Amino acid sequence: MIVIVFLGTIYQGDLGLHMTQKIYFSSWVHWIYFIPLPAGRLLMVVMFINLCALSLRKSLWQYKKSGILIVHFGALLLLFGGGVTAYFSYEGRMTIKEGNSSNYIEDYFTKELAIISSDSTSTAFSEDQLFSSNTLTFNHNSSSFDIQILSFLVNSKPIKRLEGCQECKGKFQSYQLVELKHQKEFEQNNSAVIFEIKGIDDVTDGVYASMIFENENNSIDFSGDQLKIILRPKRTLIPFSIKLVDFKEVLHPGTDIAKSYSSDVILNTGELNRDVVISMNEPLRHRDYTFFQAAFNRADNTEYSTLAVVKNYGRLFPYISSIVMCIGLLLHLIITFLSRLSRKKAKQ
Amino acid sequence: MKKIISIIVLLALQGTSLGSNYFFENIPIQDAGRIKPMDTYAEKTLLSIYEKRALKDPTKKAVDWLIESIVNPQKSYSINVFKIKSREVADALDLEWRDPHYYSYSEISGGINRNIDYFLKLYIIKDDQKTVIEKQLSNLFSNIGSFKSITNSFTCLEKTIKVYHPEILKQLDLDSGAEISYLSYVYYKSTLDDMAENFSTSSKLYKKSLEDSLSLINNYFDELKTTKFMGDPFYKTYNLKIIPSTPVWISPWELLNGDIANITGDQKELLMILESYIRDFKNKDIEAMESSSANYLDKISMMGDIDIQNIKRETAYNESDSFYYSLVMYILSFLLLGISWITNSNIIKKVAYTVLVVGLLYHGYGLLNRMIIMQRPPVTTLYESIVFVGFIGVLFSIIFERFRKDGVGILLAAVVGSCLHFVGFGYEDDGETLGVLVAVLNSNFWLATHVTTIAIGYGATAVASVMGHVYYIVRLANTSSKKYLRDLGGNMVALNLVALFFMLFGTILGGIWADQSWGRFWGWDPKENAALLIVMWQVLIIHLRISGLIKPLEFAFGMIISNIFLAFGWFGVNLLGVGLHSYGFTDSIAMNLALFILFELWFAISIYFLIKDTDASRNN
Repeated sequence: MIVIVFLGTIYQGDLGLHMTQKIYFSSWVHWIYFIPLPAGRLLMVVMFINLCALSLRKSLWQYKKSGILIVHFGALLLLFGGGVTAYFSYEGRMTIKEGNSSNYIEDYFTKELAIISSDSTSTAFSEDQLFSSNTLTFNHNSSSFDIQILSFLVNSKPIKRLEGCQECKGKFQSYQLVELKHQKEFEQNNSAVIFEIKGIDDVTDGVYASMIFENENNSIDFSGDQLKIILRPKRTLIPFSIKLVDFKEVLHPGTDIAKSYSSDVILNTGELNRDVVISMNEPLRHRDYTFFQAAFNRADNTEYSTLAVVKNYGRLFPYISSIVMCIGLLLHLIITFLSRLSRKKAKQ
Repeated sequence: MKKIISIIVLLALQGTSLGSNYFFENIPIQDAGRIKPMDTYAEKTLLSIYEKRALKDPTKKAVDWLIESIVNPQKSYSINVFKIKSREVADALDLEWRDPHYYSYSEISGGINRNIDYFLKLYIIKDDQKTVIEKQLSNLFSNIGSFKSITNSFTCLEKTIKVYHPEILKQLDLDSGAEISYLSYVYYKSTLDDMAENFSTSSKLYKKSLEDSLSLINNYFDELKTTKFMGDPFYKTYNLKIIPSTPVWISPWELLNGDIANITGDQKELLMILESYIRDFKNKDIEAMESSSANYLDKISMMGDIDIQNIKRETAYNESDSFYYSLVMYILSFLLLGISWITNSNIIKKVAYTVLVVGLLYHGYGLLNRMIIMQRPPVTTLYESIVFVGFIGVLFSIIFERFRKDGVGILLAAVVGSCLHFVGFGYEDDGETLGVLVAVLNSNFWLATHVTTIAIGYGATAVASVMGHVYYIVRLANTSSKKYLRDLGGNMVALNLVALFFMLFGTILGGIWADQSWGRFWGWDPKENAALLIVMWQVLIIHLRISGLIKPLEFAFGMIISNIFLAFGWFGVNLLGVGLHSYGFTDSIAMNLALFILFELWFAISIYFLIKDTDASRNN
């Protein structure tokens, strides 16, 4: 475990947090060339089993060692909580423009290909469907067409197309995409998908490309409707919405160093509206979700506030386990102290 | 015995630091996001151009140098205060490379003016795209500019022009030959304009002379404003921001440049007091300066929430040099302990112990002052963590000494305390050490709990690790009894447990803070991992020791290695340049860190085998 944590820390300088986490901590085995090394997850499971097995040893179940036992039980809880968090938690972000509201969370890493019709209803295909030569079928107004995925690039760069491209449509006529190495900060990747539309008509059928965060989206005419096709971070709907009233940044006087950030929001749960202030170290907790002030952005005289959103069933474990460990240590101290005292008395 | 102690205490209390001469050190100024005394500002400014906190030749406090430069700029331009760090820089400015490498404003600005285009272009290039020499040149350029700007700060308060025209004197109610400053000119302006418009007299000649006088005055002050204020590219940042105003404090020039209707009575009064202070300074009237300064502080303390006591406390803290004295005490105590071991004298050992406690008191006094000045817990930056960890280390060692009473605790304290003080002084020279906090750290509760607990953990780990070194040396010397060694072995385990306790809870508290403010308990951030590494290492060696798999010697080996983990977690991860705990990124320490780690590795491994060797030969 020490080796894995050490490697995982050193390599963050080169690979960035997301990749190291994937390679060293969230995986079962890590291969250094041909040598298999147990990685974070496997090691933690082994430790968990080890701690459980320890509890079977009879010699530990004595009054004298109860403090130690409780400390280890706390560690066990911590590991268990880690497991719950690893498998059942969800993280994302919510970016809201001042004056607007939002009821969905965007994923940090996973993307989706969304088709939006003119009445802004949308259908989305998630990233795990966006592999080469997969064919997706889109139904709209009781007719349908096919989208065949040609390639999905995690990070790419558009460069000017020099030769003409007969089958290319839309903006893809003017550029082509080169695949790049992943960025250190995973979110800075310019992901893109290249796909072919089949089964509409000769004008529309062809090869398109969508890049994440592009300004001009692909739009096609289909059965009397104009459809927009965009690649965007995967969205998850939440059962309430949040409206950003005002974003505030307070600076230390006369400097550019921020003293605090906060967002004044309205939490809208259908009929009930509530004013909430979300600031650094003061998140909003509502049902299973927690919203944290994470970032902000200024563009065209308006402010955007980005909230990090977490849904985690395991979040209480660290609290409980630290209390348990604290109690255990105290108990151990008291027991040792008492036994010393009685030994002294016996001596006298 | 008591005599010796009292002499030491007296010596310690007799500070050798200079007092300031001009009553300027407590004037509040807003800089880098907070209100601070001029003393701190002057030290920071001098540090950035001269690389020292006080002038050496002639010996002078930074704040005295500053006010002298402001009142007599011409004189200050020939003082050698600008440090040039390399020959190439001197060559680029057509200057002779001489020793010591300090140059005057006039010398350098001459060189800059000859190549002004180059410097202007260089100044706008980003720092990370410059070479070392280019960075130095660019810094020198901005130091020259900011110094000029600082010395221009009070030019609007100097009475520099005499008025002789009887008509003007009459209208302004002044005596003949009275001198006026830009400050008074701003308030006379409407009267003067009025005179130019409406003055009627039969004598054309008289009217002409009045008009000439008026335009002379107007032109003079227009030019003053252009050259000393508007034409100064750095005035926004470096004119001294000493006048309270909302939302931010402003400099006298900025205040007078705006609409005078917006200047409050209080602000005007402050300017007038400063005006008389400068006049007194020029007249070398020390008593009048003292009363002006006192007036100024009285006035400003009534203008809203400015805590003058706190400002004065900071000046006193700057002058007290408590960490320096504490270092002296630690070293002295180390020497005394050595003497006591050689002479086998119990009294000297007690003296060493007392000296150590005095050093700790100085250390704590400095920390306490910092906490009161900034109104926050003691650890917020890498520098502060070093000072605080040193304090904790010495404290733990003293407690340890209370139990053992054989001097090992004194040794631990002196080593940990003085080493960390030396490292701290290295960081102190990076600039001002009392800075404002970025948004995410601005939470006294978590700073007090998580950060302090982790720092205590660091301190305990450091002590435990030095204990490992001590065990090695005692083993090597092989003069002690078996029982003594067994005791030391037991102490090592206990120290390691204490360190583990604080590291573990500090780390968990950090996780809880992270859960509170970022929404995750653990994110595999480098700093988190490094803390985890220390914890896991300590857990590992303790389990190995308790289960009997390793003996005290191997345990000592493990404790020495834990110093490497500590150094990695404390300084090393900052060099990776990633992660959320991104404070104190430094390149210069990379080398020192590598040397330290290599030394510890060498020590841990080679001495281990040496001990094994001698043990084996002894058994044969």
